[in-house]
Amino acid sequence: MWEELEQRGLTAGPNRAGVPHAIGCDSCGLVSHGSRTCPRCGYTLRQRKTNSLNRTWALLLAAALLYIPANILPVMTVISLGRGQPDTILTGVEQLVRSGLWPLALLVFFASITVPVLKLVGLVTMLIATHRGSAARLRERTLLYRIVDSVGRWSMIDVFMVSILTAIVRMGLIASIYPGPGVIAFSGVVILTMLAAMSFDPRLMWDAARTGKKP
Amino acid sequence: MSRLPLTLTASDILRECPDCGLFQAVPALRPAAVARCPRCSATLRRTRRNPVAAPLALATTALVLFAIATSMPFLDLSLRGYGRETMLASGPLALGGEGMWEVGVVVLGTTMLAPVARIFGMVWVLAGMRMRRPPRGLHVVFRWVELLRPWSMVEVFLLGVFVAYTRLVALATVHVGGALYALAGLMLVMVAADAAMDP
Repeated sequence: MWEELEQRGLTAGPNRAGVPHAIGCDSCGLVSHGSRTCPRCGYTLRQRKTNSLNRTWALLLAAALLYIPANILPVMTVISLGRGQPDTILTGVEQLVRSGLWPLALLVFFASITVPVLKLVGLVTMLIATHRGSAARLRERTLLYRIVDSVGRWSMIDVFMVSILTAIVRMGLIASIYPGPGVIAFSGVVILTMLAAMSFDPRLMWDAARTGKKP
Repeated sequence: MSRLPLTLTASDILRECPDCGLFQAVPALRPAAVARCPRCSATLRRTRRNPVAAPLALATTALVLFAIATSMPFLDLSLRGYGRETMLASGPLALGGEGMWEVGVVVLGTTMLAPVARIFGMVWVLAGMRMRRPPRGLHVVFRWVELLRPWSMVEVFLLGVFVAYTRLVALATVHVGGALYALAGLMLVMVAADAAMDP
């Protein structure tokens, strides 16, 4: 009964597993209380990641804005026998499909298009659910966070590809590849969404569900 | 939802789940065991059979492979008498030359600087732990090794190489240099070293 009351936020008791004001270190995991820095590793202790929701929103908004030029502008221009052809993220996938490289096309489509969208939509969903204090599907949302956090780096495939092609294909008008402005925007999206995932604190979802209100 | 035991035995350690914030007692684990959060199933701890010597050996190998990857030719292209050789650092340099130094810095950081910093850090910490008088500040170095983990993208880079390669073979003759083989080895060794550690 006490636990039920506590879970519904009807008691004032600290829901900290009996250890008052205990904080787990984000860096080394040591649980301590009563100090500002971790006694074992010296890292600054904080109950939750600093200003987590606002930072995540800001980074996500910036990433969403950059997402538009990242997909519209060419990531590279391929010059072959004097004729130039700009390539965007999407036409790059098309090229692979046309060459019959289906598995590779799927992989690049997943890394460059699915993953950024998954990160943007996933993090926005988690943020809204946290603001609403939702208790639905907490386990699934936590799993989604782990996926979003770990899969983000794979979107860099296209940036690396452009980097390699730019370095190696330099034969003037016969065959040359130049980087396009889209690659700046695209790498910006990848880095901003990675930072957004890092600044989001999934524990806030559980806090919000417990108290039923905005943390 | 699981309830916590009221008392901790001496070998238990108290942990806060990094993903859901549940405080819980993690018992002492035998080697090669995993402790998961009962509420959200996050991995709380994963122990290894040989948590110092094995990753040290792997990280030292990675250091050697990194030296090879940066000093040997990476990809060579030949087309109608024209030839071009590249090294691992040619990509970021070319991007910088095209006025895209921001992207060049990102590529340089994620494919060369972050990996080499992590490898050096791992060797330093793991070797330091085995010394009779360990050097000071090992924990600071190790924190950086962990912080840089998501930014070290050797395995992603290799997929980028693969995609670039398939587009190049349609265009000209491509020769794969020693650096690429070293990089492939580096990726495997680094993944193995990370997996062999018990943070």
